[in-house]
Amino acid sequence: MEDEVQIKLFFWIGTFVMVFLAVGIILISVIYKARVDRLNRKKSESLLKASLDSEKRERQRIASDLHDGLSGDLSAVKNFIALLNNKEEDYSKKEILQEVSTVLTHALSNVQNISYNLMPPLLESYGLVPTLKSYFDRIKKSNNITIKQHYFSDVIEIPSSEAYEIYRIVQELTTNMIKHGNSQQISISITLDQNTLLFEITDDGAAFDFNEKLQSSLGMGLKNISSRIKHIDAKLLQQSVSIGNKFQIILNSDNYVKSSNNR
Amino acid sequence: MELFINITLYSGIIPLIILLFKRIALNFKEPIVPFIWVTAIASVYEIVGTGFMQINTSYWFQIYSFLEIIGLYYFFSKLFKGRYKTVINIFFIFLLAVFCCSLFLWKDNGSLQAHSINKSALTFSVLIACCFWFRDLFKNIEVEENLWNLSTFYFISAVILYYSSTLLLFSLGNIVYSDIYLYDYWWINVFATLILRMFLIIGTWKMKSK
Repeated sequence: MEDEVQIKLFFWIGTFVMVFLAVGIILISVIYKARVDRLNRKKSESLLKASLDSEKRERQRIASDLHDGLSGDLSAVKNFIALLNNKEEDYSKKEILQEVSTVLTHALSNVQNISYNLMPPLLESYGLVPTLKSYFDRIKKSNNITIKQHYFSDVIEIPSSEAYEIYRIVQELTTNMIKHGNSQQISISITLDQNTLLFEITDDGAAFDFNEKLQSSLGMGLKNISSRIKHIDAKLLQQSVSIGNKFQIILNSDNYVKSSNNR
Repeated sequence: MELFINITLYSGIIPLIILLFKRIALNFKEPIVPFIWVTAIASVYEIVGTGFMQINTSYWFQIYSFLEIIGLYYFFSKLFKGRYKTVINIFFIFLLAVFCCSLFLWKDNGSLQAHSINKSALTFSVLIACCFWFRDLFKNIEVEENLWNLSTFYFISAVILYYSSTLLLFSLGNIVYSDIYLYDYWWINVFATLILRMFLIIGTWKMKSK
């Protein structure tokens, strides 16, 4: 009888211990795996940040080298050509020098464009809105499209690193809209709702599903947008519209957004 | 209690229904598929054979033990894709040997002893195989894959929980309890079976469709 009680006790304790061990193993694996995944994610996020930062630095360096170095040299050559042209009396030589000058002007303009695309000079000194305005002015000149712009303020003081990423995202989206979607009209608006900055970009071109294209596309454009969005901790939403596309970028701006309206 | 038992009984068919909906019920490339069939067959037999037709459970216990060995052997051998092949095969031979021995202990008016040794041997083998799976998981911990989205995780959790909680019930059952008193403790098996089947349902739900 006593043995039976002991065996029953052993049965209950044993069963409890076995269940406890099984649940323990499962929980430990889940918790440990989640922790490792979290660490991996943090590692890849910091790698992404480092690579985007170094890309930005490198763009800045190349842009300033082009602007201060090559662009300056080309301007100097152009001046020398102008001097030569003034002194030259032979008409055929003057014509050639005129040709050289035209080619140099074209090259200078190309270098300035490349330099601007690499790193818009306005971004650091004047901020996001003037940079976007200048960017859209250039787009309007080279493409026959209408661009509507609405900014809640001309001064949006967000860190230059975030302004840079936003600028790149807008640049990539609008380039895609023009290049692949054949858009005729693009609208951009920036609004501030409490502490949230909302960037809305719409067009009337060919519609596409951002997430679907992101999975299937071999190009880097959409992947870069996605990386930059992650980098600045923003959200990219695609709203369904009857014609074209509508993208929203939501950026939490708790502590740093000041607009001229608020001053 | 009857409702609880009925839920447990019927829940065994759900994983197969999910597989049928996902059109992978006959895709035997998926390691778990034979075991899901065994579970569904067991459910149907227990509802019809044992419940309605009142057929002696002794026959079924013995047949089920054999089907269970085959289903789990298939699951683990496919799951490890050739790894631990020797160990898994040794376990399989060991389980078949134990099953053959259990045939000598089987009686049509009491299969508890045969059932006990089959279950004990199977529990031992399954727990070792699960340890291999967890060892592999920790070895490849760098691979980013959410465990909650991994159907295999649910299947492994299902078998590890079921066999751990019923180990002593089946191994000591024959020593301590007579067939009459055993039913006082049978709810442990019912509860463990319910957990097993719930995890199988979630696991099959998480499986990718064809």
